[in-house]
Amino acid sequence: MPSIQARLSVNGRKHEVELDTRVSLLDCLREHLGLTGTKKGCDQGACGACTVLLNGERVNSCLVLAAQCADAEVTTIEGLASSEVGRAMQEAFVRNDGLQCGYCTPGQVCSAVAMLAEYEAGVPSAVGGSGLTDAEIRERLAGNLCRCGAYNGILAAVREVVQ
Amino acid sequence: MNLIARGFTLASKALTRLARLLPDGRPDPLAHRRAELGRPTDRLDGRAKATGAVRYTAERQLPGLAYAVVVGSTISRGRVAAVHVPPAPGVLLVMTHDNAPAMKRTPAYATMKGPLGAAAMSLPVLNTDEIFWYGQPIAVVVAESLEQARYAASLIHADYEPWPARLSMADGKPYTPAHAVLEEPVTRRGDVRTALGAAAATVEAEYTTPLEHHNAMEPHATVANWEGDRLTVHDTAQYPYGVKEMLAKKFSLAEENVRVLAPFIGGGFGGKTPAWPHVWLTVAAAKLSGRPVKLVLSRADVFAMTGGRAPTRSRVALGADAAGRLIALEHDALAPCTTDEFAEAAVVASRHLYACPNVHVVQRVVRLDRIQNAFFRGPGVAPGSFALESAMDELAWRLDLDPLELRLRNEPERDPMSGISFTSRHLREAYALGAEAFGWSRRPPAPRATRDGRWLVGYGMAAAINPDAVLIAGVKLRLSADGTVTIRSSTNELGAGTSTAQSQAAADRLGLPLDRIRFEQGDSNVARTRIPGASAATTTLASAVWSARDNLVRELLKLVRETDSPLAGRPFEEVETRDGGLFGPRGGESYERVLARAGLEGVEVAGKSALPYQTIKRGTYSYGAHFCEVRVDEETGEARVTRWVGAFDGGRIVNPKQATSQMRGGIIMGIGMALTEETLLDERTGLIVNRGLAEYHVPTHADVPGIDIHFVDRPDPQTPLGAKGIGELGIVGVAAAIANAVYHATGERVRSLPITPDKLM
Repeated sequence: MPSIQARLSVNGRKHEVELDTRVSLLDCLREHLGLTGTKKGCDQGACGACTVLLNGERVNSCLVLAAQCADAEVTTIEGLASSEVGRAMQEAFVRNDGLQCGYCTPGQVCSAVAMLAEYEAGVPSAVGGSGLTDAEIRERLAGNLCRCGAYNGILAAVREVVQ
Repeated sequence: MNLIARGFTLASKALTRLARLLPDGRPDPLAHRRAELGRPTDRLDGRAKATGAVRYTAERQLPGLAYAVVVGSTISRGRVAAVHVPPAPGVLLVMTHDNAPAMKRTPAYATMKGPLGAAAMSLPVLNTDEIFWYGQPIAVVVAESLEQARYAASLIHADYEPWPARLSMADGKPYTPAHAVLEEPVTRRGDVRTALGAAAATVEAEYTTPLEHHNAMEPHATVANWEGDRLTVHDTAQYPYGVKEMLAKKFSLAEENVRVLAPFIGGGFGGKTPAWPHVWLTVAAAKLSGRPVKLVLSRADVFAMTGGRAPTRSRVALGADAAGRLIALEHDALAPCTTDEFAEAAVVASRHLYACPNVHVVQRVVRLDRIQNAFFRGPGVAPGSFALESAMDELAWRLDLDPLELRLRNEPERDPMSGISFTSRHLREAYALGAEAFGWSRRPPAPRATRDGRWLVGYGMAAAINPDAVLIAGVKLRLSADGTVTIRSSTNELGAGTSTAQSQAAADRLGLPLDRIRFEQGDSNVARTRIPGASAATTTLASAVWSARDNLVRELLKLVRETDSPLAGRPFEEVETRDGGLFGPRGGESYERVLARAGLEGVEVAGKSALPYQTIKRGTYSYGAHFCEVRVDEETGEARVTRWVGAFDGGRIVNPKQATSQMRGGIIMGIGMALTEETLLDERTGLIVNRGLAEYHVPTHADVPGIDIHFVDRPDPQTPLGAKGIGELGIVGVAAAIANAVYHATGERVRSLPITPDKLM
């Protein structure tokens, strides 16, 4: 099978790894770089557990090949704590009990941080209208599933960070 | 009723009579004396979870680790004639029924036959060419990398000799099982048919619920490592001790040579209570390949290779007199099983929720060629209560009575089935709390009476009930010279908040601040622990820690014997554990002082949960009341839940913050059950067609309103901590409350879940 020398920058650290061309960014993080904070829930872009920031924007890392990430900056849950909003979001999740089993949590946190940036940048949503309402937050986070049902706590956490 | 069922029923009636001779539960002083208990403490593992630092099963890396992928059958019944394995790079092993090592058959856990090892089913998967369900593993590929294993698996195909398969509940012959998860399968009292004839109002209808899958966010995963005849397995097991027991039997190993580790589970909901065949196949593949092997089921394989909630069909007949008192209750429930007879007790709510003189409650099953169904949060009672609580609503409309009032008029004083008393039952208080918070009294009386633009608005309510269990657990407790305490257990943390709750309980039990307690979990080797679910972790572990505390006091009293300690020579009964140490009538001293004088680094004791006499002698149940507002789009039939109030009697609440999340989680899962969730199994072939999270719709952020939770918070006088299990309670009754609100909104009664738009258009 063909392999590549992949160059990745993850959480500000450069990595160079030889990878099978089929390796997703998600599997690269988890299986090759030991960054297991990013979770695999469905491996088909349906659950959001693998959300990371790619050049500051949220992506499902299961739908991105590691080979596509040369020259890109990847931020995972492990790197998020170095930003003020990332740390604040993590703390707010704990205080508001926006997590139970914890498996979707890294994806939720990454998604919430990027969602706020998208909102600030004027990226539209299906809700629209007046300000960052609860309905607006729920709509914008709807791609991150939580089977334990921590949604009320996650919403409260995001609200707390916004204020 | 068959002979075995009759035998079980007679035995259980005899036991109920004998149980009256048992002692009551030991009243727990911590039901009233509390410092850390009752506090809304943040999860102690919250930070590790929020920063991605927790390691789940699939994240275990071992030197030389190889990756496995399973290939499933594409027929439901028959035999494999040949498996074709084209060559592929990186492959270390392809294990089929031709080369798999012998794995002993072990009984299916849910049938409760024999030792309760964790096997989901007793079928000899990969030790036979026979196929029992669509998706049954026919090959396991082990390769150097995940990509190589996946590619090699994609090339494998099989020739089959197909046999006719029974796939629809209409195909089989219903029969009475021996028992329905320890509930009697048949109960008959009085004369239901005559009572129905004399009733002022009656309801007779059929209600159905579909096959559903747990879909915990973390897929099932197993990492197996052999070192000689010693086996270490990391597994997404809700029941690590049961997996250990099962693997020891399957591979003829001494139990002490098998260790199963499962500290953190990414959600279970019962789907990880039993061990599905991939668990022992991973162990077999590691044995055969001579490498440690990791297998993570794909999401599609989670649907095909692990069981879900059994579909149910319930026929319910209710009759009431003019005063709104039930005089007839009939519930005939049908669910599928396999050759392993696991009968979901869809009749639980009908057996224990309402007083009624004439009762006929029957649970029947039909054997199908499908994968074994699994326990799923509120097994039986969640789908069964949809039938009963919908029928109660229909009856209320026939009587022209508020459905809440109808329920209040039928509250029993004793358990309606056995006549035994309850340890505690505060359902009336839950109704009152919930109704007040929701504003139920302002409910417009007529259906289809409230409109907001294109939305029809309705209110619904339903009751919740779930049996409380105290099971079997052991713990090890170590007191260190610095006054800290570490408690180890074989249970795990799957999101319920067990480690935080137990730390709070242990702090109060020992009279220590919370930060002196460490709770470690998930190692099968700590002690025999049978808590596979059943909402039983909190009380069972609390009981074991209580016993460990008693043993610690006895040990420490031995250490101070014949010293200058004010505790020297005091009898055990006089000594209290509080304020960081032991205290008797002549004063006391800190734990550190006792150990320092004895020159010890630490003391370790064991504790075992007490036999739960109270739950055998009396009925112990948790209760709740749901109130909700649902809006239905008149044009499209789309139903959306817009407001929810739940009020619950779960005894004393250990941690209100976590407990609130637990109840919300159950309610949200119930919203999915009511409106969107359905595993679509093609009954012609057995194939599950919507085997992914894009096609199987669990509730998202956008589907969930603010959910307001209240607790009665009164201690049960006979349970550890005064608490009752609440993990499953939240989902019970939710689907009925929504169906009842949909009726109130639209005037349409939907009796088959999920309530999708096509059923309302």
